[in-house]
Amino acid sequence: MSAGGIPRRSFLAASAASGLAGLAPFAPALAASGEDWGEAFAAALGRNPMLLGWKTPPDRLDTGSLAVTGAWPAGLKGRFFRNGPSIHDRFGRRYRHWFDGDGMIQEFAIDGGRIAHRGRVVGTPKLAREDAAGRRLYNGYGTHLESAAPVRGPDGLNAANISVLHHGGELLVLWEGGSATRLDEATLAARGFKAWSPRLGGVPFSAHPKVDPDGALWNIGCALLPRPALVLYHIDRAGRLAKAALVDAGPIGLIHDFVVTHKSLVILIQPFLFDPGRAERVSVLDAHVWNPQAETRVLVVDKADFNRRRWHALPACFGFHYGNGWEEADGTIRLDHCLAGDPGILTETLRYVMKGEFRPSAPLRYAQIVLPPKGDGRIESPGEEAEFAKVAPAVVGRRHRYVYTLGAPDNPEGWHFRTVVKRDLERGAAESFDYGPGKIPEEHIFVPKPGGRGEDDGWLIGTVLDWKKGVSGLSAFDARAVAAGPVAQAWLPYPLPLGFHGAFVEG
Amino acid sequence: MKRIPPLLAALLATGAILSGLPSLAAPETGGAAQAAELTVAVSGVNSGNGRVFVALHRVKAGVKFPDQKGAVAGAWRMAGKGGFSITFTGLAPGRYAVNGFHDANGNGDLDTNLLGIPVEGYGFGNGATGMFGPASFDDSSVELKSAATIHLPIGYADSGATPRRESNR
Repeated sequence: MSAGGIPRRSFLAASAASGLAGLAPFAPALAASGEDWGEAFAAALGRNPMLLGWKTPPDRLDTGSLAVTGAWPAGLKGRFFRNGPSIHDRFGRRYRHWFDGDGMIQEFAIDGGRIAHRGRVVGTPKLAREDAAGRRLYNGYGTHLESAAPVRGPDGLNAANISVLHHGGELLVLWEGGSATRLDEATLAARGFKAWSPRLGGVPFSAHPKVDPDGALWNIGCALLPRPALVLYHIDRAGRLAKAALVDAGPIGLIHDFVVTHKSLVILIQPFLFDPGRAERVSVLDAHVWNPQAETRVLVVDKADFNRRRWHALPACFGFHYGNGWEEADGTIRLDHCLAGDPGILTETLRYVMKGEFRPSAPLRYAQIVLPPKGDGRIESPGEEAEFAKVAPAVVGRRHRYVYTLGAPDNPEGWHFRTVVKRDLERGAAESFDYGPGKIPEEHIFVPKPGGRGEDDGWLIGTVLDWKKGVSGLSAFDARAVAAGPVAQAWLPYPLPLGFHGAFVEG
Repeated sequence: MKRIPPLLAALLATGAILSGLPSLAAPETGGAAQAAELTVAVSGVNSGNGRVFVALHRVKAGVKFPDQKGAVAGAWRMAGKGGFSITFTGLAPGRYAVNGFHDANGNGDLDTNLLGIPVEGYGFGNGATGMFGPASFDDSSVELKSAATIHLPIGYADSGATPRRESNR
């Protein structure tokens, strides 16, 4: 048999994985799946201009020089990238969840007070195939088509719409259901999916990797099909894979974020779990089941040896984001969490906003979680509304004093963030800046001052939508005087869609 | 590395009725006339690297498909960009399902990633697709009387570093 033998593995085992999320058999034309939400949204936007942040922008945006107010800090130079679901409507169809729209990279190039902006839709294979077909082909995270095209792996649905990472000299767009997408830094054109090794091609790489102060990068991947499993990644400062592992963690749901300490990865498995049996009939989101009677399971993995793991239990909670975590000498782990009593924000509020409807849900609040060296952990009483928690890069995995979040204290506009908050864990105090009516701030991140001293010696930068004026802007705060408001702002002549996460690249 | 399940190897060693190729076909046993031929029209091969494997199956309903242990015939062919046709001869009439894959790196196997998702191209007869798994026997098969042709499009997952469409339109 000179031409070779029969493959050693059964083809079944290999091809059992060939169908993934929401695979209905391909049909040449989409069956109608109820009325489109586009008209309802447009009508609601006419009544309530606050919804501007969920309107689809043009595929391409350019502004050579933004209008700057205040004195832009001379040392704050580099590129600030943001990402988020943006192409909510296309082919006359509007997605039915905020998390579904195709990603669009917003780049603010900051050079000596001159700030230029570029917005580019991420050129994913998914969007390319839909554009070629002239119609929507694939299910979104929260949108289920009556007749969706099949895919051969999660990247067939990759919307590249959550975050941005610059590591090891490479600019990557992050999703959480599949691979990172490589971007050309000069043109922001997509350059295909990132495979950290041949065996890791097409394996999920989450949107909240953690970078230690020494440059080592840690991440999780959350695979739901062919069977739920966690992937752990250790990538060195040069962007090379150091190690990876596949962990059977039992039933899981999508896990958006995790925490590192100086010696451990800490992964919360909240009881909002994916049921593979539902996934053929409904969206990935709707295949998740909330069980408030169940525990939040916590997996702690040794960074040095992914086989050394321990488990803790916490009361049921739901949230997306952690700020930071650290491990004390006796092994006690403490971490920040922005958590709610249930996932209503995800299943209701952030779904129906796409139709222009406000469905209230339990707010996300700042809480600390304590995991003793052995036994059950506890959630310390949740405080004020908080989301998008960030810390200084120098304290990742170390004890931190300050955590920066968005907040919404007594917001009469109801259901979005309005303040930027600096929380001082040592003093148990917080200061905040209220953007005021008509403005919706997005995640603000900490950028250290070159040669800065002290954890908060730097700037907070973030975008804000002024829906009354119909424009978006970029704010820079002195992180030591957040309550004083931005030291400078730079305004675009157009609005940007509200998005998720960003990254600052110095220089 | 065990490349051939013993049972299948024994089966395949007995048959040699494949036109123009190193033969891997195994005839059906029984008294039926073995005069039928099935042409598999392979398409969509994305490079000339490595080889393409094509298999015929006759497993009945209830048997998991496609498992190579159930293959009644199989053949390798050098890969070429595009496709080719391959004719299996001396087959007993009946229903045949088809699958195949593109072993681009020539290691004799359908490579998968850490999760078990194929990272090389593969496909099923009639372009059938499965829901959460391989295509069904019925969808990927054809009824063979004396001669028939079945299409086998090979497709690839989106993965790896292949440049794709650029965002600037």
